[in-house]
Amino acid sequence: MNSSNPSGESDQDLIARWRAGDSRAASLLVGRHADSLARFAVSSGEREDIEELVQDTFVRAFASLDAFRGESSLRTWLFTIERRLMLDRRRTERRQKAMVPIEPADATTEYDALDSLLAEETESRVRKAVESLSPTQHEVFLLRVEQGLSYKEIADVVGTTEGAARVHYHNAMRAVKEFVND
Amino acid sequence: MTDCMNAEVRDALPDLMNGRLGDIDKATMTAHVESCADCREELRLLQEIKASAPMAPRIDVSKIVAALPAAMPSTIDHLAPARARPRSSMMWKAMAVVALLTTAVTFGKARRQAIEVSPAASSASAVRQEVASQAAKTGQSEGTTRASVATVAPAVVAAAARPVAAARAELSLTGGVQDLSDDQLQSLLSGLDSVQGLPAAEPEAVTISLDDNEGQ
Repeated sequence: MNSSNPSGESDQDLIARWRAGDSRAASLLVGRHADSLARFAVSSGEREDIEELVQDTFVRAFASLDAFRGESSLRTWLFTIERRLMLDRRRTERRQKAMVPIEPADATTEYDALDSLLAEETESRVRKAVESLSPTQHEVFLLRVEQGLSYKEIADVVGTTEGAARVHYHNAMRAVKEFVND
Repeated sequence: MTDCMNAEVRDALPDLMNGRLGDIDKATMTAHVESCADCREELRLLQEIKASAPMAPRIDVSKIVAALPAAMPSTIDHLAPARARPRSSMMWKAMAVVALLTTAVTFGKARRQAIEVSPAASSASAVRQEVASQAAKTGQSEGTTRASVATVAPAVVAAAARPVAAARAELSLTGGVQDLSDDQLQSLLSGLDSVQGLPAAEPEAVTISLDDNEGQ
């Protein structure tokens, strides 16, 4: 999907304008996709520095527009970059947790406060059902249901095939139904 | 909650919810969902899941835009479609070079095999090499020595007509004169002695004879 604004300008048009030196085109592109990226990050379990993550995503995307050939949509490409950044973050967090022992005094942190907030938000059974999915099913399901990506776009983002993305979605849907019906 | 038997419709329910269907597909899907309790239930569940998504913080667009790199002229040049053509042209050139090399190697191999398997085919060139070699040894011009081909050529052609193994034993392109037996060498030298300093006639007939042999 090539998003377009009310004036009918596609992402490709705006990219061309930005390349020609029109910084307002960059504002339109960021404004068009920033919220979706933030929602995807939160739904994926990111709890800290969401804005920084979204910013890093755009900075990387704009710095490497040479690599963007327009074969997929800009939106799909942005999700791909954000997903890689989230994976990098989690790897770093795992390394830090493995190296630094957690003191009891560290227990009361902003992280826990956000955890509590998130726990309140995910009280509903359907949310719990979604969060009980395997990481791959969870990722595919979020991109399909919350972000509205096609199977082809999901395959591009997570690095799999269209058929595999479809299977993951239907398996996730079945698991959610079973969770809700229990 | 059961699943609708129409897998295609179930597949497209998220698209219906997210407004990603065209008018025709949307109308078809809507009509199906209205008549299918399973799909209605699944669509309601999808809507509930989407509504339960955690809230994302508000993003400051201007802050992100301020952090973006500026579009560099080199970047613009690099992305210009016209640059794609030279890259494509380079690829074709590289492929042409590879094809030429492959052809040359293949041709070389085939040529070598032809020389080894069919001495008759190379008898004429062998004679030419022999003539040039003898001319160098005797100090005669090649044109003068060519006259001796009339004597030498029948023996060489006859040797070429023998079985390959015999021909190899008697006449080798790599061995040259040293592959000849003493008798053959003596015969060759005596033939050379009888060669006139100047050709009695123009060597056209000899040349035609060589070409004929080569063509056979």
